[in-house]
Amino acid sequence: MAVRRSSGKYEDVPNDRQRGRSMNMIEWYFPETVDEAAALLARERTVPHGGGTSLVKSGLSSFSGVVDLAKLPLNYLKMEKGILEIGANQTFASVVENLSNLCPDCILVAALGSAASTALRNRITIGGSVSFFPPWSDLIGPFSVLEGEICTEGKNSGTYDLSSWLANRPVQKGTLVTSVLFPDAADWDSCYYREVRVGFDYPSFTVSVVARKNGSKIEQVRAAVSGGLERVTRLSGIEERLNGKDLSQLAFLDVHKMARVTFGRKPAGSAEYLSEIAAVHVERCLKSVLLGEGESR
Amino acid sequence: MKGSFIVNGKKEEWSFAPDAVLLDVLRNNGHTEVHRGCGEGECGACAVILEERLVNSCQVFAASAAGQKITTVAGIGSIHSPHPIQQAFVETGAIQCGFCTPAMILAVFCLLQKTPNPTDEEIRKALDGNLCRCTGYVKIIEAVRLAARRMSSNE
Repeated sequence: MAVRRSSGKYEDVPNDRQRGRSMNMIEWYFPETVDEAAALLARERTVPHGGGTSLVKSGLSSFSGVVDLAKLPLNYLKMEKGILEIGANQTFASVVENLSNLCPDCILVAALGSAASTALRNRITIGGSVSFFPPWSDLIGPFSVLEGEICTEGKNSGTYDLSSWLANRPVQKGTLVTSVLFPDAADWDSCYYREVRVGFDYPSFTVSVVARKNGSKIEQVRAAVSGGLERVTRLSGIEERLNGKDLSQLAFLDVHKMARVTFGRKPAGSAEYLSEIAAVHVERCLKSVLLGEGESR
Repeated sequence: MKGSFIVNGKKEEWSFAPDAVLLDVLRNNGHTEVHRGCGEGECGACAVILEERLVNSCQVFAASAAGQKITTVAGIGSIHSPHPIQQAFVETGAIQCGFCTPAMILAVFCLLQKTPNPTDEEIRKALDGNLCRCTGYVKIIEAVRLAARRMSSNE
């Protein structure tokens, strides 16, 4: 904080955090193995830090230990037998770079490449993002339509699908996200839309649509809207009506009505407004993916 | 706690609070070329290069950056020996109050390291987290184009 002195000069005055008054009892740990990290996270009031911004924003005052995950061997991205695995330490920027070579049309490239800003994409990690899945997440929509899974080690080690992960947040306590898996990430046509006023804004909602076609037949389509009261909503009614059908069926579907998602009021608009606009963009995304009409942001 | 950092090629050993962010540690140790703006990671005025990546230093815990290489704008050029990017900003009038400029220069530096001849779209993307409230972005983008041309052709 800068204050103006009686001499007329401006001077930086440190706040409590800058003075180190907020707490000095925090211990930082820098484990080099997943087992070591998991053991540290089993301790009370200990929190993992992947490098992103959530902890900086929330502060460390309620913790006695921070486990820095940067040295863990979790900074990788690989595609084997069609399964995409992304290590928890990959930043959004790294995922976009690596995936641009492996699978450039993957919806994750569009979604994570447009999240936040360049400097933040260089810090936000997949593991941290999965742990918090904030309401403005650019990962959760694509995660839903690609039917990703979350792999963990520690107290509750295992593999979780998105709905069980979101429904059981206490499972994360003492548990380390090690990677995310996308069993079938390649060869989807996709469209990703984020509702923002300026590029680096938090999106009010996002729309994710992926589809596979065979000639004029829709083999499979998946659609999701994030940012509503349910965090992420799969539009299963639309999916069921279109899967296995001819592309022409889209014209007979009242997408606008079927894509209604419930929102709370947000700075960008009322719940009704956001619901209306989201439905419009679901319709546009479906037309883009299935019929090749333009929509992306 | 204590940590060592390599700032602009020079090894430093500094003390800081466990929850201190890199921005404060740099400024408290004389690197006032790193500007404090919003403190929320939104304006980009505090950007530095951590290893090879542009980051908002207000959003990085100093503890997590210990042992790493940090480049501030003072590490790439000076008033007597400006970097071609700095020179291009001056010549095109891409500076007004100058508050955002150090971070803007570093963002462009990172961009041109990876993409020597960026498109306008790539320039806009690279600068998406650096706000300028004076000039707008037309002159800044012009400066980036000029710097890219000069650095590519070694003018």
